[in-house]
Amino acid sequence: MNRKAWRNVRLTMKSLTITIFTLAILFIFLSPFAFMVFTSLKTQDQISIIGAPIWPARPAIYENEETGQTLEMFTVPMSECEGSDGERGNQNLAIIRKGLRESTFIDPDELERGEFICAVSWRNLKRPWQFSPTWDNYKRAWESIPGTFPRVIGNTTFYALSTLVGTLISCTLVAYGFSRFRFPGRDFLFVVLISTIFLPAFVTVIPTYTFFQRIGWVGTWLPLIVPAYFANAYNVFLIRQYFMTLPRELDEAAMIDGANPWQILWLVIIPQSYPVLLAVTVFHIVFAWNDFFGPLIYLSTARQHWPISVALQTFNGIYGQQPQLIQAGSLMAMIAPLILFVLAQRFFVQGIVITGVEK
Amino acid sequence: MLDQLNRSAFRLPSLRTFRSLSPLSRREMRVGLIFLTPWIIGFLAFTLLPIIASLVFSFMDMRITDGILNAPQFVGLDNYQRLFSDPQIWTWSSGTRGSLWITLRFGLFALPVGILAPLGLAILLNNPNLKGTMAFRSLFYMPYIIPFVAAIFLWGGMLNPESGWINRALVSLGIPKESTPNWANDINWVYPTYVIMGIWGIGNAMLIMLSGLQSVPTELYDAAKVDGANSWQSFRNVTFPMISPVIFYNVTLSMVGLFQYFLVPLVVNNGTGRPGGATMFYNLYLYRTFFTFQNMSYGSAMAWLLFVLILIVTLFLFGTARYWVYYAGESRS
Amino acid sequence: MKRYTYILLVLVIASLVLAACGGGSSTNTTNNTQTTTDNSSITTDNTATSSSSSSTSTSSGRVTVRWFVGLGTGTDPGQITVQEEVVADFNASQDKIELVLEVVPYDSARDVLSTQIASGNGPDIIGPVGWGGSNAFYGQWLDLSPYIQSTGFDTSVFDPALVKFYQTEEGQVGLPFAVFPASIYFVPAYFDEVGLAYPPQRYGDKYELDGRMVDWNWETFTEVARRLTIDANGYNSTEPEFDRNQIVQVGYSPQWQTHPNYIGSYVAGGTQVYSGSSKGDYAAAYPDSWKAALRWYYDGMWGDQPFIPTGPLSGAPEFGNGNVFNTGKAAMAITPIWYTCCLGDFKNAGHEFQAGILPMDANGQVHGRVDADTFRIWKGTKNPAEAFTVLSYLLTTAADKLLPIYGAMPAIADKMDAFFAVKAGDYPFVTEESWDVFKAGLAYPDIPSAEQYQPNWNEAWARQQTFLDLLNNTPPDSLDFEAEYAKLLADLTVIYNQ
Repeated sequence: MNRKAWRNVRLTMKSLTITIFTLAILFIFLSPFAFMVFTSLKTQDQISIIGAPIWPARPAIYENEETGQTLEMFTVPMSECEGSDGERGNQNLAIIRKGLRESTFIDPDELERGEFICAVSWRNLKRPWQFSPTWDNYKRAWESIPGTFPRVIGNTTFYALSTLVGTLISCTLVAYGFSRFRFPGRDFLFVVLISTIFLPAFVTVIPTYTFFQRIGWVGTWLPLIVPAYFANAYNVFLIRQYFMTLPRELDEAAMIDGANPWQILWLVIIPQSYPVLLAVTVFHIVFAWNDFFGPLIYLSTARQHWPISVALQTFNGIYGQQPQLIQAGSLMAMIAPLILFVLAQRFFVQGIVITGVEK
Repeated sequence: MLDQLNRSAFRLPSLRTFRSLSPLSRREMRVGLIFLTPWIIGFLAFTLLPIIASLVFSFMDMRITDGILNAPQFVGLDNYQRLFSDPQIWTWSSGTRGSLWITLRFGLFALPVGILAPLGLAILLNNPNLKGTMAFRSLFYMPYIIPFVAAIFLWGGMLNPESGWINRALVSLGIPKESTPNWANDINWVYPTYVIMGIWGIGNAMLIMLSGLQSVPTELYDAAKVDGANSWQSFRNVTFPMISPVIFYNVTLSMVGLFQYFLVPLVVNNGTGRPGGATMFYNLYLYRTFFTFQNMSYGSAMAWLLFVLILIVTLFLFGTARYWVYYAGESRS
Repeated sequence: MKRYTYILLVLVIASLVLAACGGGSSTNTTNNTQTTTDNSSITTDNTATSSSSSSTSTSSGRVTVRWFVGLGTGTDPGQITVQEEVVADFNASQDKIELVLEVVPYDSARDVLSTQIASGNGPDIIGPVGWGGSNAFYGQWLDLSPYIQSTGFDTSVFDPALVKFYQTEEGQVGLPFAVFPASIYFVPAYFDEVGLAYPPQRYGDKYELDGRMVDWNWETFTEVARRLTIDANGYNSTEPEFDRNQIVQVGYSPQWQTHPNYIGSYVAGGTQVYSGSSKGDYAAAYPDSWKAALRWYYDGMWGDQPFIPTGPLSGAPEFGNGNVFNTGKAAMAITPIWYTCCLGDFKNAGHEFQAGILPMDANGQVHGRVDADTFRIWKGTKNPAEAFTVLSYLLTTAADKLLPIYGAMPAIADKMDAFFAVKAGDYPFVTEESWDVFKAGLAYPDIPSAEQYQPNWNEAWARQQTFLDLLNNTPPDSLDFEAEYAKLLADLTVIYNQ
């Protein structure tokens, strides 16, 4: 084997190891997600059977064709049954009468044997389970969510996108101001900016609500959307950090070529900043998608505008919680941000490649 | 190091300093401020007033309880007096600690995990040998997208001592059911449980780290290789300095987030502080004071103490930054 | 690169336009599947609504009245639909008032209402709300007396005793709407399986245990509950083979009546939980009988022969995340009739329940609980007269639609039969005798209510709740009951005087 081929093998091995390693971590990482999916496919019935498998299933049922009677099936150790004559092994039997420590069964495969008693506790018996996902939860979540599902998702999309644009533009501008210009008081202002997130958000909610109520914005989208156009500490800080890592040589070259600060931002800085803009885009969409308290208080009289985060909460009522509907609804709600995430990745990765060529 | 920071940039720009600037610097300041206007307008219009209002509340007796709200009164420093003698905040005996110490202790334990776990994951996902990076990134990010109300039930189902998935997995690995952890109900397990839950949500921090890693020019690695650096050295001398600004960002925001930690104990342990008061975090106590007990004025006083604490730590962090955060854009002398 | 610039530019312009137009019209833009032409008009209406607290009338000349739902029942999707119908009916029935429904999911409702009230933008009508929810906002309710007088509202349709419940030092702050007497819910099949007689169904009757007629008191109840607490091997909790780590069925679930004040009221009888009459001399005043009741409850979970699910057990998904009886894993539950709102899953799984009388204490006295929900008017409303018009509509005309969806027994005697007819339709297996148990339960109210007023209500209630949460989740080896109980009383005294 020549050296080149040997190197290829080593590279493949390396990539295989690392990929398998990552897959293993991912497997653990996604278990809560599997929990969601499985729960969304279960009936309330299955959720409450002790010892039920974690995957969606229903206990097997025996239906007597003559009487039309349906009986639950259990896996019974035959040695515990009367007339077993040293029979060994387990068999799936249908239960006729449940008792504490002995129950009456029939054998569906051997009906002529008739009813017989086994000295087993039926609660402790395993049941033959049949894989049986219930898609009905998705249908019910889709239909019974307040408003209709497409409308709720539409509201959420509108909220996410209309605030995304404002966030991206305003935060980029402000971060540029904080990272590329030096002037007295700049760092002071920056600490003021950061300090706006030091008070827990719920502490300022009453005066904020009062303010928006006085100017007549409560019950509309405005208190949720307009502030997004005036930058926020989280994203400005992040973008600023990124801008600060970009070397100044290109700025200076552009400046010598006669570019003004706007042109430098647009032509030099932004093209180098796709990864961070991707991050901000994704954060913001996820934030808006799951933002709960803001839409709740500002849109409480305007149910037709409810986003998904608020609408889903109605499955979590005071007396009736419906985890399977919550999970089904949540999974459907996650599809859009996931697609956006994947698309955004493609968009920005392409961006990087293209800039690379231009450079 | 703090006074150095103060001298350089923390002075408010006065007209005098502005006049003393050279014309070029004046121009730089003017243009810089133009770029800051969106934030300055928003700050004055939407943020400043509520912040001041909450400060005013902290000097009042403003409670919905018993109709006190209908006639709010100025009570001077009463709320602050109560604040500094509240045993729920300050108790330092063995047994149940006060909320402040609970918060600090958990923070010191959770902050390193909150930085190293996403960093490690980002480095793994940035490895050129890894196949299907795009898919991996999306999937690792996914738990972060799960809606809050779904997460409540999900963690209930994962962590329940009786039938939770984690304990089922442990039982199937041969651990007897009696000795499986009680997770959020056990005073020794509750903080690790919270940290584990936190790790599931590192998608955000991972993405930030990734964006930092992607910005490191490959020429630098090549140069390091030429110099004969091994992978640890090239991480130490190339990667770390280049991504130190985003690490700094994560450290600062994690710190703020840990000071304000309350949602998880509120939901997972009902906000009652169990087991044994160990989860009565400062901000949870604040939330309960504010909404559950409807005492907006004492809640505001608590919030301002929190504000001052976070501010002190933030200034400290900003002070240390010059020793370990490398800004390529600032390298011009 | 150019291409992306254009895309970005288009996005910017488009979103600026969207944002400029505000919510309504743009909802139409983004939401192709659901283009409702009246959408934007709804929005303008609501904009007007929100500013209406200053101007108090919409463009159509109607006065806006906001109806806030969320402090209790009423937030399930199905209930929202019916409430929307009620609003539409009301708005169609007259042209002076525009009723607006405001639904806030239960978990967040108190936070939202606090915010609104503290901002001076509270809703006009709030409900359904029980004693607890009302006391949480004590001092915020409008005295209805002047409006009852000026409109000539006929209060004689209600039992005078019920009307009296709503009189506080602030006046007549509510009128009866729904009452919820309590009873034992039990699953006959589980009694059959272990060969126990069913709980008696007429107050005064005795119970047959092991061939002897005994009093149906808490001692008997405890014994029965233990024999109905079954592990995976079929042993009950009185047997030596019983394995407490494998409980598959509990004898008794205090279905959501898990607060010290509930347990004390059921077991030992209602009592005023604080003493003193003004700030400074308030003190916690749990009687010793309540302490004994809480002990009993704790031993029921963690003692040698358990019959109540512990916190971790009842929190398991298999046990319904706390909704234990609904999963068919409790032989008995004690809770008010509102629980019949939501036993659909129980019924669909093929389970059946009946109702039995509440046990009596050692002195032969029965201590029941009667919850009561109603609608209230916020003191700060700008339109009290209009709000009262809506209130009387909800209490009378709309009650026929609302009571069944809330699982609420009418406070107006005439409406009782219709209510039980609906319930019988929902649960055909429940016998006439069982429904009569609920009716008979009205004679055993908790006076004062378990959710009674106490100074600094929210904090006191939460402190008490924390104590119970501690009991639920702490095994005896790490709990000093006496010390924790003493601490509870000490803390309560401080809270009352704050």
